[in-house]
Amino acid sequence: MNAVFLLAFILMIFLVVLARGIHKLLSRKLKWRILIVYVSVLVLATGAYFMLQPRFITQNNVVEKPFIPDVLKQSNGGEIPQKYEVTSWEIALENQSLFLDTAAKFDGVDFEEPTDLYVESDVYIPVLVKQGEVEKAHVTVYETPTTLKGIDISDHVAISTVDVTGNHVIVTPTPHSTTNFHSIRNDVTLYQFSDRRSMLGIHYDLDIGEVGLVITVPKGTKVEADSEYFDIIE
Amino acid sequence: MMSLIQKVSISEAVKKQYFYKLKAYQGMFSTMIIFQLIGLFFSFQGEFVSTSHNNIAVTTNVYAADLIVAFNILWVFTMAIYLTNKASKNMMFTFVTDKRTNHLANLLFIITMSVIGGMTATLLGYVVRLAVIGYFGLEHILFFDPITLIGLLTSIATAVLYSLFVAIIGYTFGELVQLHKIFMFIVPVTILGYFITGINLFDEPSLITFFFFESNFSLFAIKIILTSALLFLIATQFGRNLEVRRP
Repeated sequence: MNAVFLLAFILMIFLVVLARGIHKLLSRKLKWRILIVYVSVLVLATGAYFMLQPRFITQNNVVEKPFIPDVLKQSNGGEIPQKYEVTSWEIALENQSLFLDTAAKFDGVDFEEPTDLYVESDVYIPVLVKQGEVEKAHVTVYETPTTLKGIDISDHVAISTVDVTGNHVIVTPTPHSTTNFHSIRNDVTLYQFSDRRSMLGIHYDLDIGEVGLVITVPKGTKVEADSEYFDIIE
Repeated sequence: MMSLIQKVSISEAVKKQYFYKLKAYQGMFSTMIIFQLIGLFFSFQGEFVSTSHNNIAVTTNVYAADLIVAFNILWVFTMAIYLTNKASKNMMFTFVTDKRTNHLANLLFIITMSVIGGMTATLLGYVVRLAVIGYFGLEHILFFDPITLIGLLTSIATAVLYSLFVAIIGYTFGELVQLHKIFMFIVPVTILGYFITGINLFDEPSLITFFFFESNFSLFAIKIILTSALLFLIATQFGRNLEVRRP
């Protein structure tokens, strides 16, 4: 896009330099015709835009979502709605113990390297641990959508993922990512008289999705997790 | 013997001069298209808004026609000044005319420029929007501000009023410069000084908030029209006694 823009800009400068020559070249009639064609094209384009507009509007569906740590910390171990469930596993535990790790630590990488400063701050996962009359451990992963000003952008933004290996539940931190979007807003000539300033301040409203775990383990199972990265709620 | 002197009414004289100016300055509209197309290409860059949280950065390019309207305003300002230059004034001496009819014909021409410019600049914005949707695809458009017909008309009317206001400022400035060249420097420096010293962080009442922060369209239109009328009246008083063609 930048290359196209640059080329177009050079072309425009070229046109401006030639503007005087163009005026001389064009006959009076032709100048009026150009103006009439220009206005007609603009009117047609605006008409087309108005006709297509209903298709564009359906894009904006504002999402309401729960705050996972708050739900899990409710006195009765509140339930997260089913729609936020991503996946679940049944794990046969060895030695009646379950480990919660972050991928970097699990791989033996020092997680407190300065370069991983942001990765570190990203991982803090609430985990509700229930002990029950079950034979296997049951791990359920919940995830809320990432939103920008209330719009779900989860399909475009990757957050922490959870996997299971043996009796280790491993959380892979959110990878570094930059996502580009495009937005269309009304002109300031209209904003002046409008209360609806939807595009203003969109940079304040990035809400990253949260990952939460609900783990049910057989009675007497020891759940080990680094309190720096996991918030165990029992 | 038939008299060669015909009494021409003011309205007739203004009308004749206006149509003459439309023909003489039709090149201005080609310049308008070029100005607006420059604005169009800048508009394709969009406003860049970025936010980040931990590892995630999200950038949004927001597209609108603000720059096209701005370039259009720049065009009317330049053209309004052009109307006051020596060559333009001398051209009108081919008519049986006085300063009043010339000013009135210029006012009509400025209104024509503002209407055509304001309307086309706003409509060109929809070409930008269509091109953005066509180029990136609807799935990459995150936010979309819908527009109603009333909204479109308000947008056009506002662009026209801003164009008119700035054109009249340009016209007054041009007349002032014709009075004495020193104003060519004094006026821009004064305006620049006002903007620099008048940085308004707390939206306190000022000349800028008086126009730009007016959220009632009718009041805004009244403010713009009355101020433009006042400025135009002032412009007509400059060089009132200069009736002789200057070499």
